[in-house]
Amino acid sequence: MPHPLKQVALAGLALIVVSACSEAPVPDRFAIADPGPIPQTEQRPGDPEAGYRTVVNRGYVTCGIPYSAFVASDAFGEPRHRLPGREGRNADLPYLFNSTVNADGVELVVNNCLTCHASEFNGELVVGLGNPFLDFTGDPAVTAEMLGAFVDDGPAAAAWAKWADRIGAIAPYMVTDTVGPNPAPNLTMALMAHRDPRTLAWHDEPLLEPPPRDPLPTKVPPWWRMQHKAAMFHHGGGRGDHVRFMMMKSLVCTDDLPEAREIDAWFTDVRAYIASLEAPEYPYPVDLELAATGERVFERTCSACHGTYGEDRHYPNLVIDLETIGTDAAYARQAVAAERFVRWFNRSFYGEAAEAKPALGYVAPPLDGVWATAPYLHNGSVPTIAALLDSSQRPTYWRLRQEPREYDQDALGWRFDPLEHGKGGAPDAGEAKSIYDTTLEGYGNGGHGFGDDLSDQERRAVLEYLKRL
Amino acid sequence: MRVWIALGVVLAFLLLWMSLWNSSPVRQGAAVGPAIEGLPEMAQRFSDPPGKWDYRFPEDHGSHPEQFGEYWLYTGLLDDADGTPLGFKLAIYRLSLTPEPVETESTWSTREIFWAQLVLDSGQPGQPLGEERFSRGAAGLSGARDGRIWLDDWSVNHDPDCACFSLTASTDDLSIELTLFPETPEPIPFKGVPGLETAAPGAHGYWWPRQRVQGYVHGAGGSRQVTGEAMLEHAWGRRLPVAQGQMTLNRFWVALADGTSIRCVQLRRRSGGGIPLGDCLWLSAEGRALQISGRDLEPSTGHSADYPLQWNLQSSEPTASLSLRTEQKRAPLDFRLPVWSGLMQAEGMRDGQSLEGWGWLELSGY
Repeated sequence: MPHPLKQVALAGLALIVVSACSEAPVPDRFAIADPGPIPQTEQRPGDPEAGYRTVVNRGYVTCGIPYSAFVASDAFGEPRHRLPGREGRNADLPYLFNSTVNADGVELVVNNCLTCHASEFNGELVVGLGNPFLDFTGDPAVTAEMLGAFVDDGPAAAAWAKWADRIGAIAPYMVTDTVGPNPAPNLTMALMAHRDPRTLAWHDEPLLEPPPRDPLPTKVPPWWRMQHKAAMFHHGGGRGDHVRFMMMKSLVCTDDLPEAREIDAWFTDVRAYIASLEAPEYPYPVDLELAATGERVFERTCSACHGTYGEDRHYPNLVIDLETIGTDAAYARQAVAAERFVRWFNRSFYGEAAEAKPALGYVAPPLDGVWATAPYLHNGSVPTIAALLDSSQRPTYWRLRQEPREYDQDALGWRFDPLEHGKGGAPDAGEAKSIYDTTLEGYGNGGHGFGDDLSDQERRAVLEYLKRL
Repeated sequence: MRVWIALGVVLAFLLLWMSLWNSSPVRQGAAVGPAIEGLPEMAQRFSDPPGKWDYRFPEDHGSHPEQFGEYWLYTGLLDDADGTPLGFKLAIYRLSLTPEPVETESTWSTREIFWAQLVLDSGQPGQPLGEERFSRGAAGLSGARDGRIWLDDWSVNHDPDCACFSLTASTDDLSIELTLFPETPEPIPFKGVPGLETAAPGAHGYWWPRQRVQGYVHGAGGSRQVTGEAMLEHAWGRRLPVAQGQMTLNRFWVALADGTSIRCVQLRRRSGGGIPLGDCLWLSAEGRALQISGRDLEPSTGHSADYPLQWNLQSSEPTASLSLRTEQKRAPLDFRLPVWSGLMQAEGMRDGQSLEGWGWLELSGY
């Protein structure tokens, strides 16, 4: 169980929204994309190395915890992983935090992208790998307030209050009832509700009706897919200039256009860095002969949507309609129904060169490094690829083994325990939070039954092939 | 959340100066001692207590010296034969200086320092009687062992034969000599800082309301026999509720005439705004405990930098509305950490039935 203060750390998340085009901003654009191919958009160039330095050093979230309170609280411990290129104070901070100084001269500790976009595999921190073990079930507002006990009067108090107020505003929309799923889309919409889309000015009282309080579960996709993808997010609604979506983490604190434009300039490099990432290599032995068999099965069964790999690489960038894919529809339907937030984005600075344009369907993602990205489907409802390819093996109720984490080389996923009961059968609330209950709204594990017709041998072969991607 | 550490920092600044170099009692109003380097680091040498505590009584009524901090807080309302009320609070705090026992032959060496407050409030206009003492846990000056917790001549004794507590404490003007008889067999354990368990789980302790009191109040006019009701809160660990930084600490202990007991702990921003933290525990006369969010407890005058002395508790479960207030617009006690501490009246409604009772209020950090 992570320390409660970690809940606060999670509040600075990567955000999710919608789409793109290179037109001038058009007031109140709202359109639903058709399932099918997603058009490519040329992305602004950037320096990948500078982008990495930005990710791990700069304060692109401009409000946070006064450094003095961060230290005095003694809540964050020593850095568990030390990433290269961490400069100055950053070298001494846990990897998910950066140091920055605000306009009043207060040194702040702020979340960086790696809060959600880095995760351990075999004891190593893999930058770009979405973290499926994060715990958003606690109320981050509680710990944000508690940190106030360590804040001195003066500019530090003002800095803390601004940050704690923002966390307090979005906290009701980001508390999940299950450990693992990520509430980023919901908290992004909550932030939009408090901002003027034209000026980005913050309003304590929401200007739009906020999103529902119960966030739908989503899984954080790996960064290394972005070099192949034409659009962001599981529903493919993030179209056009990807920078404007990637920088939406700044929605927590950025209150004016000049600051947003400054961050935008940094994030052309960040996007270039993300697009430069390659999937890690599978760290265990692979049966090459079986994998070759699996490749043939894959190309016959899977490639039409997920593409081909190797020398003849081709990725079709398809949104598969809900009826065809059959996976839990709640997330895509919510994105389409969230018209006020789509319009907000498209009217805003963020929509100047991008367009939020969700579809009633889900993107069939590229599968580079897919073996590392358990659990599966957009909501993380299927714990292993083996279960993804054989729907009869999908547990209705299950729990990830947190400590120690153990990778299942046969099934390709983190080891889990299937359960006979859902949250209602848990002995206490803490136990209930660890149970993934696929009978809940948005948590369904149905659909994507394309592997069901394969023989066991064919499935084994495909699993072996996927280790090579 | 390291609130216990916060206490350690605050207390250590005060106590080490007062205790290690001055073993005599210190009255309210003295200047705060200088900061001592290295004390936050000292506090951090203590581990959090285990996540689950196997409570054993009467052992857990005593001291837990391996824990960084600990407190015993008694509060109650007494009445004499004429119906003259007197509210009291006696709190004794213990702070460990090292996780391990000190091996030395010096009588003056210690691993512990003690801090205690006595407040006696008649509910009448004017300041209540208040005194604060500090001492080192050495040479018999103060300590906690063998069922006894004491600082000079202030003491609490637990008698396993009668399962009761004896309290003795005095100011220059009044002294109390009380015996407390719990009316329930065991206290109500809690995990974490009471009222703040979610955010600050590194502590254990219990609350024990409904204790019948009998004893004497001694003063210049002689001795009066008194009876009344009291409650005890005892906690230990690395974290402790304390007002610090931007947060005020508001604590309430309430006893209603229908047998209901209520304990509330709340942290809220001194400057206003934000989200109040903490909660209330509503214990019915039948022994049913209900937790109420601290967000349901608000000062009736809204946010203020001053000490709010009128509060409203609006609860949906139980369906109740309770006003907690005092008309005594007096200044806080000028203790090392200034605190408004005194009696309050409770009245309200629950399920159409009127409620009334007494309470003790402590506000700090304003």
